[in-house]
Amino acid sequence: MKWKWLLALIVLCLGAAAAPAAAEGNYEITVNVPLDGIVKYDSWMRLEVAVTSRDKPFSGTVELRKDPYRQQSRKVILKQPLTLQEGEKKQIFFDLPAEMMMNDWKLHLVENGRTVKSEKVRLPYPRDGIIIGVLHSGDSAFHFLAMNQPGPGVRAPYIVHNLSPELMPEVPWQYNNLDILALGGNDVSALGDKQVEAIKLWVKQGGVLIFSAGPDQPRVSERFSDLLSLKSHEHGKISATEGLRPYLSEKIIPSLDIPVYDERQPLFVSRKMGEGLFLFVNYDVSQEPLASWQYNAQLWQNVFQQHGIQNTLSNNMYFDQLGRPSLELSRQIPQVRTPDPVMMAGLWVLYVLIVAPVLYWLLKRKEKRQWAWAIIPGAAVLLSTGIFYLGKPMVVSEDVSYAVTKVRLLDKEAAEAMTASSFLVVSGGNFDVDTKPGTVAVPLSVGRNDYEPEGMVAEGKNSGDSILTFQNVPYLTPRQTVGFSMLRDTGQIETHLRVTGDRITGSIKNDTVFSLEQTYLEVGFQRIPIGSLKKGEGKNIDVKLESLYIPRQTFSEGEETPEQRVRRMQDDVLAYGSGNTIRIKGINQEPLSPFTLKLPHRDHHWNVIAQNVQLEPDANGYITYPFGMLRVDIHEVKGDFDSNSDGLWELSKGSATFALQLGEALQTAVQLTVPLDHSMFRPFEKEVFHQKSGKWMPLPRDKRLMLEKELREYLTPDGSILIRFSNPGEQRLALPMPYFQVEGKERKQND
Amino acid sequence: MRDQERFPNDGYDEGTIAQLLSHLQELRRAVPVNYMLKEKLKKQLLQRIQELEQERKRAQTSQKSGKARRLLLVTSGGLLLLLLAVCFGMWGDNTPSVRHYSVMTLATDGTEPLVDLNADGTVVAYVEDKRVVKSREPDHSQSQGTLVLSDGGGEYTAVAWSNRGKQLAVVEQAEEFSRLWIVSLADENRPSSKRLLKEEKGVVLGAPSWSQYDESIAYTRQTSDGTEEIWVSSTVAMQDWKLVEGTQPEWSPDGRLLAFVKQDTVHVMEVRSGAVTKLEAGVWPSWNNDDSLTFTTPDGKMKQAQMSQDPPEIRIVPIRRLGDGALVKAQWSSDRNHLLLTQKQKGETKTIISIASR
Repeated sequence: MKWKWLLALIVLCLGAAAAPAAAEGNYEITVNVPLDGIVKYDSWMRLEVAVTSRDKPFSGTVELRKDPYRQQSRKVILKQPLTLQEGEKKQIFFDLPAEMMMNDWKLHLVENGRTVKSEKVRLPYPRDGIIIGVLHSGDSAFHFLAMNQPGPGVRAPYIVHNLSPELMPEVPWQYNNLDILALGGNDVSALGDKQVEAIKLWVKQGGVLIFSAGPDQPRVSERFSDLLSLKSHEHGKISATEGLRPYLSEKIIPSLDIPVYDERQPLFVSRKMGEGLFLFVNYDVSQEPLASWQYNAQLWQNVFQQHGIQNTLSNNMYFDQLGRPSLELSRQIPQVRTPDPVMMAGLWVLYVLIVAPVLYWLLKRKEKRQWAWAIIPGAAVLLSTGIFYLGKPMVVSEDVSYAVTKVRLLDKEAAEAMTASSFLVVSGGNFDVDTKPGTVAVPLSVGRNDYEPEGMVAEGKNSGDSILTFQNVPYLTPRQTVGFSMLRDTGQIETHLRVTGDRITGSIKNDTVFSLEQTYLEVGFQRIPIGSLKKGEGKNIDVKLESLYIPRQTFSEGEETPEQRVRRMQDDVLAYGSGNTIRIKGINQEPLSPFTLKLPHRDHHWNVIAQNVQLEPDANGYITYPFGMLRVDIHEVKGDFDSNSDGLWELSKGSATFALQLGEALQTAVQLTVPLDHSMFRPFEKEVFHQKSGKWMPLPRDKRLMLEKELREYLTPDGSILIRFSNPGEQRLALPMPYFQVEGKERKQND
Repeated sequence: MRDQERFPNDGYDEGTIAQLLSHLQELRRAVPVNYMLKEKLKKQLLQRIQELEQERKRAQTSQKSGKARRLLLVTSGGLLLLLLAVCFGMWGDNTPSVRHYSVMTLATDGTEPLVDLNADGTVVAYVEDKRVVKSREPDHSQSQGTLVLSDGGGEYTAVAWSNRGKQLAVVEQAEEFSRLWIVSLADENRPSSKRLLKEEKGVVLGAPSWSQYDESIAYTRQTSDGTEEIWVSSTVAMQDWKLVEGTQPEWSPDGRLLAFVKQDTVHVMEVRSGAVTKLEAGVWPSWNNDDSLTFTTPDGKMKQAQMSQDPPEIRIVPIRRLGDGALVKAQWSSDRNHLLLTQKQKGETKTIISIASR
């Protein structure tokens, strides 16, 4: 009976030995999202976590977890070390792609393996629309922008959000949560140098900055004087008729003078900066006579269109913030050969069907059958051990890493780099990865459905750098990380290219810091190999352009070899993110990765360096925008409409209307040609929309569409030409996108 | 036994038993035991037992050696067979042999490519009554489906499977227009669709042939004055160009070479350089390898030309179990293992379609 009492006591003690209650009152966690909580789904976001210790020091980690705390299971955990003295407050940041934050997250303060404080993370839902951040001391400044109609290919509304100087981030990438930043008024003076620098870098990366200044704000303008390219300015007035005539009909322009910052400049001056756009508004939008003008919305819509803002917004297409094509390629680590599962299975089948029966037969002959109970399983263990030790060096003999980097050259001074890297530490366990200063990175592992954040991020010894730590990594299991950073003084590829007829000619010169092992010129779907381009090397270009309407598929279907798979993945990385422009892309294997595994290892690199190309006019001032370069959108469909695996559209019992976007050719276009005479378009009934009369004009069956003097009569307000294809029949007919060519006459720059 | 014998009589039995026992004792005394004989017999018996034991052992041994011998024989025989099979598989017989004779008959003289075999030789596409393109498996006598219907009033005059087996090139002749269609075949998710790749007035298109990655189609273009030219139309770009004068073009599997017929003679052109090699009299060239092709001779035989040699080696290739009728055309499938044969018997207007394999 005694033992029963003892057992009961043990059970009681175990039950009572619950985890001590968390001292939640000792610590406080507050969460903030910069930029007043504005988050876009397709950008990275920062979670600012402020931890305050009230009356007890803290030394542990701050952990961001998806699921409720389970000590034994490996769940998605991102953590950072934290040490607090009594009464101290510290702030740490978690930087992640916004799409990863769209789950239920909880913050935990963990000390000695116990959670001492937890807090649910409540985040604002990403905004769906064109986000315009406004920093202006004037009331309701720029709010007329909210009345603008979205542009071509952009169906989302404009949303205006007021900001204050203290909310403005000091790192450029956080401004990616805005589409447009509108500045003006005296609030601009309150911006710090770091904030201004970050804004300028963000514009180079593809942002749109609108800066409004009136005659009363000379100091304000000094912060951005380098963008204005003005050595001096003269306050004055411009008549509304003269200033607004390029944008509005004279009937609605009021007869008045507008006070301006510099009377020698037009009312609106735009300038391309890297991939982005800077628009200088030569008057204070918050001041009358235009602040409350009834035609503001119309004015600004036309300003957006004519200065290419709509085009820039449309071209900022969704880009996977994790860079999944690069991540997938980084997992194909060179010289790492996973064992052939067929071979593994074959070895075991060989053992079961041949070796084991032969052993048994031998033992039977020796009349020692009973030994089979030990010998046969023992031989199986020996076989497994042998395969393990002999096979291990066949998979990989040393620790290894593979980094895939995409560099986007913005201008001579700046480039943006995004790196996806895989690390394979053979023995697994814990290991660290150094990251260079200025790199925003997140450690990852492959989850059930997607990549998930997992690991620790800590500050490095040097200012600005950090250390990623992977813990409890199983044997022979790779881990990934993805991050981005700005590169300085990378130089640019100098291009002088023009299109004449069906040929692209000119020269290119590699004035970057990168040697390129292979270089391509991309025009529409066509990828033209140019060869290698060392630093400082130049080449002449004279290539015939193909009018490709779907990409070439040079990969055979069916089972592919590992080499073919790698080539296909490399092709995906090369092609990903190509917009409606001509681009130069080069490949090399230099060590550009900001990540370094802190163990002796072999590292591999594969880099793509890309730059947009601005076409130049020919001797007569004409710029040809070749077939396939400018974008075509689907405007409207009726009936049975579908796409197929060949990249074509299929239509029956209905119609499809395509909008041919002139984009950057809008201001200069003098001729537009659509090859509707090609046989593919002949079975369809074709019409083009005549904007001026509001009617659809039928097109002949076998003639190409060429618009010259009458081009502007067909242009819709958003700068496109509408063409409708109809197939009333039952049988589906296939057609490609009706790509087109535009010839433009260069006009004098507004600067 | 009678009851009296089974059940003893009282008193009488005791006397009988005693008499029997004393009788037995007397007999025993009378007959002496031959101990020597007994020993001798015992010895003989033991010897015999030993001999039998030895014989048994001998028999066992010889049984074992017999088994071993049999095992050895079986293993050797198996190895030999395996070796023969390997040899046969590797070096032997690439000779095609007809597997499906007379899959169908067509009312044509065989000059138009109205039937084609898909990439792996499992489906035949054919034009029926010039209005409909149908498909069929060789084992089935009935059509499995209708692929394309002519809704423009034209007649289908040629059909060719793409290398990937998902599309058909179909030539339609409608009044003065000749059209080359690309038909994407239906699957479980979508119906079929067609795309007009080439339309031209006043010419006759024919004999389409898909290039290596299905990115272009070579075809015959016959002008109104009878000139036959081979043109190529891209399936991914808006480009057409003339290659050479001739007819019945056929791309090699690797896309380097193009075989064609000019003035009833088979030629092969290296596409990149434009160099043309003339072979000999024949029609309907078809590639059975990257560097060898077959064609039909005027006397109805099939010949093979090995292009890797200079000059190309040409020899007759027999076709086993080929039925009656002169060979008109022999077309290899994209996997180069199946051969679509068109034959015509003397005096007949119809052609017989068969499938051979190697």
